[in-house]
Amino acid sequence: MGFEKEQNLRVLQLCFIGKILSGFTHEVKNHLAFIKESVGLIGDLMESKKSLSKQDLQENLTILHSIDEQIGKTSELCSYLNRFSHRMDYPMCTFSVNESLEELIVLINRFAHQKRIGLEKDFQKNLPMIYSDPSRIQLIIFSLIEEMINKYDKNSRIVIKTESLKDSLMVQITPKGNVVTSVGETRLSSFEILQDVIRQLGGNLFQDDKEVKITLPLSEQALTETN
Amino acid sequence: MTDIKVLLVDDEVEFASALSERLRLRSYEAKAIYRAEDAIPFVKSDKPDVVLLDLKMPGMDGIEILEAIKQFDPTIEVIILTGHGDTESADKGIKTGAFDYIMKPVDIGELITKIEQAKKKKNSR
Amino acid sequence: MNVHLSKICYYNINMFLTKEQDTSIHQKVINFLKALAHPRDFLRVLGRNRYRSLKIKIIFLDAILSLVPLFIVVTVSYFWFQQILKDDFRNQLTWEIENTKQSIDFFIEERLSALRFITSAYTYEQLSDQKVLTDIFTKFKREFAGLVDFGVINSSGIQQSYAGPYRLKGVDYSNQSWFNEIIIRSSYVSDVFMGYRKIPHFAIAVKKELPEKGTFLILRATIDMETLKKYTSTINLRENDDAFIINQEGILQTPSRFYGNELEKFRDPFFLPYRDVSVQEIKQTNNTYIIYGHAYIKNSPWILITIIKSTPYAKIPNIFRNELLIISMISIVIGIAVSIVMTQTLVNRIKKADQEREDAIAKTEHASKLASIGRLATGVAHEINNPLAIINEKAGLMKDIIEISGDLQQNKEKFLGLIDRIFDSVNRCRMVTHRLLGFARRMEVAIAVIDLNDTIKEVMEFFEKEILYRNIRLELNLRKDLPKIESDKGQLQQIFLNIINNAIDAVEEGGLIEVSTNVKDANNVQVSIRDTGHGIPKDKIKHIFEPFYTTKEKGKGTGLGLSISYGIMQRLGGTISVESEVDKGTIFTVEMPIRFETG
Repeated sequence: MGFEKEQNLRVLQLCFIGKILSGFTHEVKNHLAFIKESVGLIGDLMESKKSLSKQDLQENLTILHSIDEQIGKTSELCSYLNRFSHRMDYPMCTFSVNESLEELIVLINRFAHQKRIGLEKDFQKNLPMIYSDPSRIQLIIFSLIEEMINKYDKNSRIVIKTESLKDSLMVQITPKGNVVTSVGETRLSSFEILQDVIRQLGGNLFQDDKEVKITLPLSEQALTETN
Repeated sequence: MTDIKVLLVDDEVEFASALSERLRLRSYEAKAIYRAEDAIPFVKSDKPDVVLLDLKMPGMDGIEILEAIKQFDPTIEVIILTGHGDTESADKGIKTGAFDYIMKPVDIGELITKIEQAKKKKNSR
Repeated sequence: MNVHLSKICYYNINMFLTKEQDTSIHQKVINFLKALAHPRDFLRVLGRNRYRSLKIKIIFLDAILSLVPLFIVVTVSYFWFQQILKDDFRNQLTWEIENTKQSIDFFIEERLSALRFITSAYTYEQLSDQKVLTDIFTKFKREFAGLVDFGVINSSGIQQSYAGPYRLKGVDYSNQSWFNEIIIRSSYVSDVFMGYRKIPHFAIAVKKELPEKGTFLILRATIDMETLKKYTSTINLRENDDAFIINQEGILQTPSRFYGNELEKFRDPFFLPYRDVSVQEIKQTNNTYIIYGHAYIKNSPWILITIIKSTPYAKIPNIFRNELLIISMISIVIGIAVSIVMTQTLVNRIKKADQEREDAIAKTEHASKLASIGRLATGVAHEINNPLAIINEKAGLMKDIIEISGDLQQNKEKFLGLIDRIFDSVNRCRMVTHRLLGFARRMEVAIAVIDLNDTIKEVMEFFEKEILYRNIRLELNLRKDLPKIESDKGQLQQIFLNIINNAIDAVEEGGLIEVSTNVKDANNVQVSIRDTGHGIPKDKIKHIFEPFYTTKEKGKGTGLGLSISYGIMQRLGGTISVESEVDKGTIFTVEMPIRFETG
């Protein structure tokens, strides 16, 4: 790839990470806020009443139960972030595409939710592992999803499907909804970069009006052949 | 009171104290220490059945403490406390001789189950 | 301090020169003059970017290094060759003159010998006999071309016998100078004279002593000058050349092309320094050279004069020069072509290597950035999880208390205490997320590779009308090869908008606003916005980046602009600084890194 393209890719990657991190942060903050409010509520309950009825106690338990849930979600989010950031440690490794996509979807969920667009998974079970660059793949998928999120109006859905083919693995991103009339600037330059990256990984990127398809080679041999 | 002696070793005071209290509420003889250096002496003097050990403590390497406990008394079972999603530490702990691991935030039910299992194993020796 | 002063000096020059409306041409002139003052920048003016200028420098240097010796060698060779040809020509000429002289010498000598032979072979009586003489004459005439007559003269000077076309028997020569001369010398060669029938002749004579008789005889022969003329023509003469024979008095013996005919006086402009043969090169008044040859003919009163004005050797160098020129031109063209190709290759390699190096550095930096992000993210995950675990236990404890003990009244304090502990943990998390968010925000700016000059020009478009309306002079000194930077275009424009707005407000009617872009060092670029407005007093300048600080009247301006700009700049990894002097003006300097830093 040309030097400028490489530079742009680096910038793109930093932007992507920034968005992931801020998404994560906002989500965690939300959970924490909920926890705080809930606990505060219990406190208020305790303070206000002289004696507590069974009902009050039950209510407290309910609140505490929901706090549990929040804690669970937050913790899960933290471990996703952990996994996500560790993916950047090794440029090439064997990993599960489903897992990396699930991670991505969780981390960008809030981002999509803000635009009222739902992200749906349609992952093939037992999808074979692949030897490639997980963080770059996440970057590409994210860029493609982001573009769709910006293009489609609220209440649209984006379906992310994974499927294994003969020699390769396919990730298909299909938006379902209506396109927003004012599209804004189409980042053609970044699309070129994404294509280049996929090619470097031995795969292909197709895009048409309906969907985007990414294929990645399954065998290590295929990868080395392209390089 | 059950006859299970549990020792919690974790530098997070609030966490360890709260958890040990919860265990006591469930009739376990639970104590908590908050400094890695105190771990071995305490184990030696108190002789717990099960040790809940946090591997990521400042000062000493949790693995070292684990090894020391096992060396002192191999029948004492150790359950590793790991951060959520930190399977690496968990695996390392198991390899070094820990009985099991549990992730923080802790599900009290799961913890109780593991403590019972550990005690069972200890009794069978 | 120095930098500041020089800045002011050059700004003054600017102000002086840009009185006219058309700034663009003057801008170019100023740039050019500026460049001349800084020789290092001079070639920059020629070359658009540093690789171009490097290429030009190398080709230029190469051209000089190869052309100068070529030129020297060619010029030296040319003149040396010319000199050789000249010398050669002269040598050739000298040889010809000598040759001719010797031929004439020999000719004379031969005839004198013949006459001497005749006087030895025949007796006085025989020679006095007309018939015998005529016989001898006829025979000799056959062998010796140009022989006109024979004459035998006695010691009294009377021609006793004569063989020839004229009737000269009995002529008395006793009064003639030649007769007297031959009495003294034994042989004689005369000057040319116009003989009968107006044909130029010359005479040679030998004296034969007759010791038995106590007298002598003189055998005299007249020879046609034509034969002598033949010899002068052996010298290769061109258009402006001349070869002729004169006598010692300077009378022409053979006709000269330019100096007269036979028997006219030859005005010898030159000094006759030597006997025998001399060939000299003499410089004339009009800076041309003449080769002047003298050759004294032995046994005769004659001098062979050769005047060569032609310079045939000059023609050859001309041809040589033309060929040389063609060859030189071709060599130069080939040389420069090769030089250009090689320089292109070389500099392109260098450019590529530089780019690769920069790219490698960028890659490494990026990798380390990612590594630190990774560490941060992992750290955050851990640091949030711990408080979360605490909250979990505290809440769990609360649950336990409710479930196990049932009656909360006793445990109310404890409960509330637990709630406080939970709050603490939540706050702990908060701090962590806050930190992470700040970090993420710094990355979340829409970083792109942008052209700073274009960005500024776009901003200036906003102010076109206002500047025109307020009669403000605007100067843009945007450095041509400013490297592209990684930054957030929108936010940068926000900053510039803010600063320029302030500048316009400060300047009011007819002032100057100058925006320039520059490279500060290897990693940073710089934008300066200068105005000639009322300036900021020293005591206020410290506060201008503070929020809500404004020098405008109530209701005008929020005072937030500069503080927001300052914050944005910080997030983008750069700085804003200001210098100002009351009633003189203000300069805002915005520095930013070429590569986006995460602060």
